[in-house]
Amino acid sequence: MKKVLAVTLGILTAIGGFVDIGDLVANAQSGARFGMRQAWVVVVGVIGICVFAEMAGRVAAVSGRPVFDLVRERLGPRIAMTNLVGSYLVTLLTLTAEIGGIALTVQLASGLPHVLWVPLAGFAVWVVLWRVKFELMEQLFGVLGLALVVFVIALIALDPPWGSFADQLTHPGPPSGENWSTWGYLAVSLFASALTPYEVFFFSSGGVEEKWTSDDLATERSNTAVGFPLGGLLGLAIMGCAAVVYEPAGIEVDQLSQTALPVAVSLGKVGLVVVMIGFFAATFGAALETGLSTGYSIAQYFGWRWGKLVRPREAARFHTVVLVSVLLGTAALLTTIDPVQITELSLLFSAVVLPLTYLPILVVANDRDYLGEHANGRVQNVLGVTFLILILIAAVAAIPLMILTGMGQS
Amino acid sequence: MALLAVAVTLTGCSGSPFASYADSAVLCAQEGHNAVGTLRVIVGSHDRGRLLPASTEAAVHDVVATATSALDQFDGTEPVSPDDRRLHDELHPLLHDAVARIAEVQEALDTGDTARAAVLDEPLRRVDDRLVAFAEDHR
Repeated sequence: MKKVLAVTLGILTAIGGFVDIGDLVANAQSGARFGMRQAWVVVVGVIGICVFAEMAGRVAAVSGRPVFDLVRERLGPRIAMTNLVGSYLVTLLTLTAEIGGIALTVQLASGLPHVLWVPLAGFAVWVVLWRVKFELMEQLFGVLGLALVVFVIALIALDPPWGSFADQLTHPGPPSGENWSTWGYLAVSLFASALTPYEVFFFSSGGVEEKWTSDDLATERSNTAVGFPLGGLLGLAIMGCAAVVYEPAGIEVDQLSQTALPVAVSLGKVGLVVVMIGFFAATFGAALETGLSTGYSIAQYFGWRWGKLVRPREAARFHTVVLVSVLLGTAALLTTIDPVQITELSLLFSAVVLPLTYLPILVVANDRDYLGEHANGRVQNVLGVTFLILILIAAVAAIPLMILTGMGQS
Repeated sequence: MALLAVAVTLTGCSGSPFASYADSAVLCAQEGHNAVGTLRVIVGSHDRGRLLPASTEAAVHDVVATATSALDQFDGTEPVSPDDRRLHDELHPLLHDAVARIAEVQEALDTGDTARAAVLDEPLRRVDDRLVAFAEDHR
């Protein structure tokens, strides 16, 4: 039973982390515009996050310390500071997008403008972070997040053109009438949505919070091997639903309500209710993870006491960072900036800072002083270096593609 | 922060800084099509009883925002050459018509007049076809 519960950490990270507002937007946009032609990007992203999350989790389990803590010690305060600044800002942007996602979901359920719900969403996130136990938090949103399986059912009910999907999978370039720049921009966004930096902060810090040891390595590996591919499957289903409903009509997706609409088309009101529960769980769960990750990154760099399991009075600076981050995100949204635009920006800037997160993990995971016999083997290093090259390509390409395509519009 | 500012200015249908007036016009036409096309999916689903009233209201609100934004963005870009002026004179009435048709459907749905919303699908289809044709002709 304990083992089963431990896997929920992976499931939570997969649903709230892999499928968050970024995936809900990026997968639907890609499906609407390119059908299933970019499905391979999701597959590559899932393998990439499995590789690096396994490393980060292993570092946490063997050393008993989260990755950020070791990055500062291993690479020095200057390099770690660069890492911290880039990662914190992107995580803050992602937190803002997730709070916006919660508000958009409540808008979909209530019909009232999302701006009205933003303060309530920010407050609810903070209350849960402050009061609810880590274990309850992960189990609740892990289970509710599974409601997104409704996209798989909706896709089957939509009776998609499987032959055409197969053809698109084997011809992964842009369709006629579309250009490579836009195709590349959306591919970078999709890739970044799979490898968002906070996922590994939360995964490794969560492992420390749950007091993983070397004995838990099997659990840690099953978390990554089960949780992330499940998230990837849901991402592909979201892409498939958008591909069936929007791509033939040439309709592009730029609203969260459009992501939900194919489920209503195929499954009606019941499906719509389930998808709204899934949206809420995914965005709320990811808001909790990103909120905690803002605190984890800063507290671990400066060597403060940190953690959800530590009483707030004993980790006051950690909880203050979390609170200030939630307030900043909420305040940004109250300027009426569109949460979907924030999401697109968070994905883009995630791509830019990906190397700052993943290179140090690869370095630390190779350090035998910390990991001993559990340091990276040859296979893990080949995979790690291969993905690091892909990450570097995405990071270098992100800004030029953003400017060239006007954020994927041309 | 500078990159963030650049990114924000790139949103909307103004497109890339290298975009011509024609490029921006095509993007605005595409935005209009996105709004009208999505509304047609919403009306179809609503007609078959597949949407909750609150969700319909929220989704239509998003459609209105998209269409209005496309019109505002297009109005905010000044045509400088005679060719630009011709494009403006062709697209502006289309976008205006799209926003007006969308508002009619929104009103019908708000008052619970599903039959009228269904009847309004035909004018929606016509304006949608013209927006798509504009985008294809000038892409």
